[in-house]
Amino acid sequence: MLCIMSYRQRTMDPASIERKIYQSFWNDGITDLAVGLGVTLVGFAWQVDVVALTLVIPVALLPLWILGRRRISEPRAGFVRFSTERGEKVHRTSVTASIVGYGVLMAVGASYLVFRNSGAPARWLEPVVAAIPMLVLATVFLLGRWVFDLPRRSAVYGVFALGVAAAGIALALPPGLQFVAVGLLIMLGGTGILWRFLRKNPTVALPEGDREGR
Amino acid sequence: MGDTSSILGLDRTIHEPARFAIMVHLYVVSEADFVMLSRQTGLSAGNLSSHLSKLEQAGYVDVKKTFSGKRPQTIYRLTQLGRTEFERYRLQVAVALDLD
Repeated sequence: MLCIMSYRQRTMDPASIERKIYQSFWNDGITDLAVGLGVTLVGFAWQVDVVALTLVIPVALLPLWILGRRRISEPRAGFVRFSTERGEKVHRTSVTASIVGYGVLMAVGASYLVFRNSGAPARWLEPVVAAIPMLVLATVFLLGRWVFDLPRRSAVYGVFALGVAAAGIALALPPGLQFVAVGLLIMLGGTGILWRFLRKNPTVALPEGDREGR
Repeated sequence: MGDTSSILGLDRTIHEPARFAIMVHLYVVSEADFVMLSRQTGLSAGNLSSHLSKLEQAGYVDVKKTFSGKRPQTIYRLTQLGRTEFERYRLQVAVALDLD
């Protein structure tokens, strides 16, 4: 009996179980598809110079994500509401990351303006400035993995975004094109994950007593 | 080895492996539905339903039946009593096994 309890103690650590549930929450591919589509559309909007659309796209995709979760994910993986501690941690870290990110953006933008207005050679800085949005996106994905406990692929997306930003600097690629490249990769990943999720998770047949809602 | 006498006082409602798995999953989240518990614990629907009934009878689990769109949804959460008893159970096991 003691062996069983020791085994339970090792394998049933509440913190690791909560992390496992939290990560499995994102393993339906729907979030990847929504984020990938969002990033791709932002890239297209940027490419065709309709930058105002980039503010609308994330808001427009949110109902689509909610619908996908309700119609596809919840009947197969179930519904969960996480603890208030988890919510507070996400909120606290998001606010800190936003403030830091905004500060970095402002600092880089200000230095660019100073360089440009002072007549210094700002030309070489232009591709770097064009890659800043992608660097910010890469940071968001990397933070997602190490600060928000998102699945490992968040780091993969982050590293890919860093690579695209580096290529953008080397080849002077416009930010729109960089976003399209990263968005398409995320959509591709999301499609694969959704396909695997649907294959591995048929809908659960509820027992008689659990079928009747009130 | 710590105080093994605490093992004798373990709550048998929680000690059953399937119910322990349900309790630990409900302990770490605010609430979860039947499908999610079935997926995470690996218990069959019938088995899960019967263990959840026992936990509900013991007053450890609160049940809410609702709809998500047209789909019926049964949502479970630990009651304050369930949460306290689960913490006590963990402590008793930790004391018995001399775990920090």
